[in-house]
Amino acid sequence: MKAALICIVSAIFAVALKKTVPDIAFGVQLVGTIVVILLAFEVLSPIYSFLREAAALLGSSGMYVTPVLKAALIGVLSCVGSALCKDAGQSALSVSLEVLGAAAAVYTALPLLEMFVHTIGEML
Amino acid sequence: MDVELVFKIAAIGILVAVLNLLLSRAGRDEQALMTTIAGLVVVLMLVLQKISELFSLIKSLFSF
Amino acid sequence: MKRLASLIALALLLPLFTVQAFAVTDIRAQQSDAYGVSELESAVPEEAYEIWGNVTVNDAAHPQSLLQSLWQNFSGSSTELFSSAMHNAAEILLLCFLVAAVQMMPMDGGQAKLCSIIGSVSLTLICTRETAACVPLGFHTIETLSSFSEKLLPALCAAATAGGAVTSAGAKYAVASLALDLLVSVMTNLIKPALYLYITAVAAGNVLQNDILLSVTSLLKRILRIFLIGTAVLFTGYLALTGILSGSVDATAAKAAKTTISTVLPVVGGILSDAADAVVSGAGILRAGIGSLGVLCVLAVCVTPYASLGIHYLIYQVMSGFTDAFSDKRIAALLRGFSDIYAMLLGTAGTVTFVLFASIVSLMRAVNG
Repeated sequence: MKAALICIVSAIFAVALKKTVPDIAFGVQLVGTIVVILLAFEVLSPIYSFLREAAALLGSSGMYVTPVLKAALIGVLSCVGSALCKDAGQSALSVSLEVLGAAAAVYTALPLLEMFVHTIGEML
Repeated sequence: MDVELVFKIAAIGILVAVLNLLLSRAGRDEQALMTTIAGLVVVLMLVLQKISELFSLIKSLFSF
Repeated sequence: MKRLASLIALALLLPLFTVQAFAVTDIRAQQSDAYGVSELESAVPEEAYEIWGNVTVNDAAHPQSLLQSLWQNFSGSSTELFSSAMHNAAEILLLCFLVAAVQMMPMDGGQAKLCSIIGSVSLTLICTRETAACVPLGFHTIETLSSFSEKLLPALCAAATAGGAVTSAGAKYAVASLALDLLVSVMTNLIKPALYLYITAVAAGNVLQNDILLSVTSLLKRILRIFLIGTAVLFTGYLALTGILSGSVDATAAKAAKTTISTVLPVVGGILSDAADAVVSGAGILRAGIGSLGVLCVLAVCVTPYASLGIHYLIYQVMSGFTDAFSDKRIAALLRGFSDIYAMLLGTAGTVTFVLFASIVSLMRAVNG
């Protein structure tokens, strides 16, 4: 509810200031986004800890769970950043960020992908 | 506290907009521009604090 | 004088009866040596040795205590098997929940697909790690059964032949030996690589969402099923036919021999015929003991691997049905593919076990008139 309130207030102020001071309107939008993302991470943090503990309990050392979580977080951040850049009218920056996000997600999952290819190669 | 920050920045924005309008009407365009830039710098400083908070939280989540 | 002479004659005849008594007990020991029973007892599989120690054919003739030890051993190891399989299931469930949660996040098409692929890769690695441990287990069972059958079937055949089933025992041994050799050879050189290819196709097909790879998996499954069912049916049919034809030949030949001996040699012929009956019945007892040992050893080798494969198959089937409700259909298809792998392993090892069991039972029941 708090997050919804922040989003609505930020949107209203951003729209109001857009015609006169568009850069500060973007600042309002940016702050609103960051505050809501921080709230989201505060909620995600115990979930993340629970998943880590569950993975540790099952003895899989997080090797299979961590890359998926990191890729998801990278995906969310790059999507949000890309949307902000689009709102600011910077579509080139937006696309660059999306590309970086995809590359970073693949990089995070690289050990997993290497293990996958290695396993397939051993079987063949 | 988080909502207050949004209101703070919005207030700075409104203030800058009003000052900008007054100074432009008074024919002091350079001062109007400087006011806008000053307001932007203040907003950026506030935003940067939040961004660094966000990055440190992401770092703590990503570290294993 | 006459009395003395009759007493001396009696004293001279007395050893004849005692020698005959010693000869009866010596027959079984001689038969055991002749049929290679000691080689068979020394070739008992490691799994059976761990449960029963140095088990002999005589022990196997009274199998109640052996079966009890087997059951106790199985009860002990099944708890461990079950907990290991449940551990694996919990890991898979955790990852399925995670992938489902990630897919619900609002991301662009490309990012969402990438996260989905990474989740599938993770899940595939967990499933493959478990499956890659079970495939060698299945084939080790097949190899153990094959090497044990090389000692068991000749001993069983020799005992069956001595028991009067001259034609049928030889024919059944030839069929069983050929079938087992062929089966093991095909399974090691063709089916094992095909199984690994199937695992690869399931994994890669589901991760990359490639329909061609997925159709390859269904084709491989169909071919393997046809091959295994066909082998079992052909072998059973041929064994039954051989048994019917050659068993009646043996029965007729045995009866004819007995009648001829009794008719041609009126007094001695009867004794010879009875002596031959003693040898045949001794061989029959030994054959039952060898067969019983064979069945028990096969059980000891098979019970734990089958339980492991069966538990994994059931768990993957349940997980597949469960994840169908809340996760991506691809995840459920991936789990179903892996459960099929366990089913194929069970079928492969089960076919060899069935052929060996059928051979043992057939040789034990060889008609001897």
